[in-house]
Amino acid sequence: MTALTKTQSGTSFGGRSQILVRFSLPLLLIVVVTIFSIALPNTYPTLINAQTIMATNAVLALLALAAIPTLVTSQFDLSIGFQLAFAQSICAGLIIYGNWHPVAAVTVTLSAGFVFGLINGWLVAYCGLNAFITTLASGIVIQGATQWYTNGGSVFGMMPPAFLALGRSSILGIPLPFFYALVFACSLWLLYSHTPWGRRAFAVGGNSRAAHLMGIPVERMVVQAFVAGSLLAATAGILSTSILGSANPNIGVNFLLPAFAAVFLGAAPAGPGRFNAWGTVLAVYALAAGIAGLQQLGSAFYIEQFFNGGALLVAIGLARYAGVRRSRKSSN
Amino acid sequence: MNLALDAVKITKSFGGVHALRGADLKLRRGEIHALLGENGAGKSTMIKVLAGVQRPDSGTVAVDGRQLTSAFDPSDAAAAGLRFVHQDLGLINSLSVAENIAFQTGFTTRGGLIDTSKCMARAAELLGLLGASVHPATLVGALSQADKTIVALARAMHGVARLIVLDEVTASLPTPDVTRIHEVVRAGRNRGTAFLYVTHRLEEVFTLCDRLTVMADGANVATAEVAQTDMGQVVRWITGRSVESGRKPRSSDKVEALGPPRLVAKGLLGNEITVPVSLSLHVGEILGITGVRGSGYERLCRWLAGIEPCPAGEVEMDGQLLEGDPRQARKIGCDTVLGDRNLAAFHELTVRENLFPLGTGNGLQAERVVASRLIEQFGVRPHGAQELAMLALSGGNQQKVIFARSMSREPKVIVLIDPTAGVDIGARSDLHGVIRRAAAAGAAILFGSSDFEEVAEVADRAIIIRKGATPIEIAGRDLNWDRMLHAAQNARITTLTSEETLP
Repeated sequence: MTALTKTQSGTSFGGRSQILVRFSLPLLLIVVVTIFSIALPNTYPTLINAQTIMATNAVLALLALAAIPTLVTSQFDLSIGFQLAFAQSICAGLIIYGNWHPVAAVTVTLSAGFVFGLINGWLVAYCGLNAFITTLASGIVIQGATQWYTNGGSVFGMMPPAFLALGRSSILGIPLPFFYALVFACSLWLLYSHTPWGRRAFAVGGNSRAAHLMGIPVERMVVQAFVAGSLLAATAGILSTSILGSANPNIGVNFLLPAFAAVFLGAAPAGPGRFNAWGTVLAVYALAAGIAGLQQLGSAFYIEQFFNGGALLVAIGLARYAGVRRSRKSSN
Repeated sequence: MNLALDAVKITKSFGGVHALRGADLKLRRGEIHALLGENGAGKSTMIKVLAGVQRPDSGTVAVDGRQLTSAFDPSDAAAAGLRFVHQDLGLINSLSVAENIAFQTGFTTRGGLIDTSKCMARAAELLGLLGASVHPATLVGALSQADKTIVALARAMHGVARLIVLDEVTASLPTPDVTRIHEVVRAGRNRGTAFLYVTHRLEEVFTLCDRLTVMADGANVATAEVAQTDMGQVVRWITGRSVESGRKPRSSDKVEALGPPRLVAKGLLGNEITVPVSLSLHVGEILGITGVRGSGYERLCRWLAGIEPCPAGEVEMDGQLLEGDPRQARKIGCDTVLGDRNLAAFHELTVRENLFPLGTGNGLQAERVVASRLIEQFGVRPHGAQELAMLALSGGNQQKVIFARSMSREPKVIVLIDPTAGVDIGARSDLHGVIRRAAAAGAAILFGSSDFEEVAEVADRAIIIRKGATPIEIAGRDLNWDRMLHAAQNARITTLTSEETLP
């Protein structure tokens, strides 16, 4: 009886603000684009600007997606940024120095990512090591491997035009890398929202002991999450090689923090633990659109960090506020 | 004489939801006063108001005749002599009893350093007030749940404790331990402290409390002397309806009416179980597995459910060996329902996801349809809860979701382990109905619980696990609370015939 009256009043009171929270990321993107289009009518609302933003942030979007599988299972993979740098260097090095066929180079790079994810997952799931510390350590090691392979310098030279075209062409004016990001986001969304495997992953993340008692193979699910994340990070690395036509062994850290900022920002409106692909991609592009606008207005290069960090703090603050209001309404 | 507590016309609403609508609560000095009501009746809000955690919209609170300011906070409440012991007790396992007590009483220091012996003496004194024999140097983590509860109680007695609120402190304790807690509470009352006792176990009210107040819908519906009322009346006050006695008709020919055996266990042995246990569970039967905490009844249930490997002996279901792997158990149709929601619920996931944590593979639309049917069928409140996070539901409703999850799979064997822990009386009788219907439909059900009253009410027969002694089987007319308590405490059972004792 009381519970019933509660929800009825709960929806009538909280309905509008709930919808606002739910669609806050698309709204943020629209607001950011509108503001800068008014402020910079000649340079901002142009096709070339949109293409630049889409293309240059696709790698970041892929890396942010790479963080999702481990986070869903309540684990953490800090090494994805370093894995991206490793994949970029290996892929570029094999093609440029080794004269490998790109297909072979991509296969080897993905296999390396697979093995690395397997090792991380095994250490965390079966040896019971803390994920944060384990992937910090393995991330440092793989960064060392990248430096070793590249001797600390950039990798550049000739690459087959077909391989470069994969990262540099566009269809109907939309850059291909943006399509890749959408395809991977769509796949992750299907996987996590519409398959039993995805449901089990959320169950493992929500309560691993309960998941075990339900008959879910928790350890195996965790290993699979690490492998999936590593494969996505390697894919991001390969894509960046194809866009740049070169590799820089030191970019891991630059990508790591913005990627995590985007994942958490993307999950904030959906509720605690609700890491999701569409939110993540929206967050990447909302942040990127804002940063691009600020830079065109003449802000210094470091505005990016302030914007990323500030947006994340505001988002988790608002999400917490909305969550507290929700729980006040429904509990007694 | 002043009242120990006089809370008048307390109202409190949260965004249009009235949690308290002018509730009164009056406690006399030196009485044990039960506060009863279903989940959501307003008990928790009332306690939070008394603790100064929630500020009431209107109303006044006076302690021992002294009015508290309208905006009193937790430290004002403590200064006025109000103390609170919650179910989770708020103790730190890695510290000693004396240190845990000193956190509330303040550490005695000498030259800026902690005076350990003084702190110990202080702790021993407080424990002594309650006639407890816990040593102050013991690590709290090494204590039994009952002893921990006693430590938390002793800690609440420090200073001028005028009123101690005990919020479901016995909810997870087996019956004999509850008796110990009662003794301690009586010792506190005899020193003049008033106790506000919140519980879902009605038999406690009649063995321990002096008076009671029942709340429903944010208001007090009744206050009465316990001696001048009875169980039926109290249940009617709490639920606003009469709960029919769920007791099944039992006759001596019940045993012959059993279906074929479904689950057969031979020589189970290990951990707390030091005497081998053999039993068989039949189709359509509800078999109680009970005992005091520490007897190992819980572990035995986990072995029988096939979710934990048994060191010695074997469990067979329809001739197939259970390996102690939850995955295999589920696959062959043996399902477990745990009352410990930390082991069964996915708090942040939605109700629908909690119903199908393994996924269905039939698409979201089909899943939503089945979910709303189950929510309807199991009476989960609020209506249309399927996209709410599990933690937004009351304990009883969460438990209905967990029941629905298992029952909807129509398992052949269902093992329930303390399935109604912390569930209010209305939801509890609903769940008992679910269990009976599943048995009538041909499931074989193991009902593991340390609550003898409940086992006697639900089970057809019961096996009492005793530490270091042969288990005892009780059935038919002997299946009652008294008999079970005696059996559990290894007392001599006069009328038990030899056929009823397991080999």
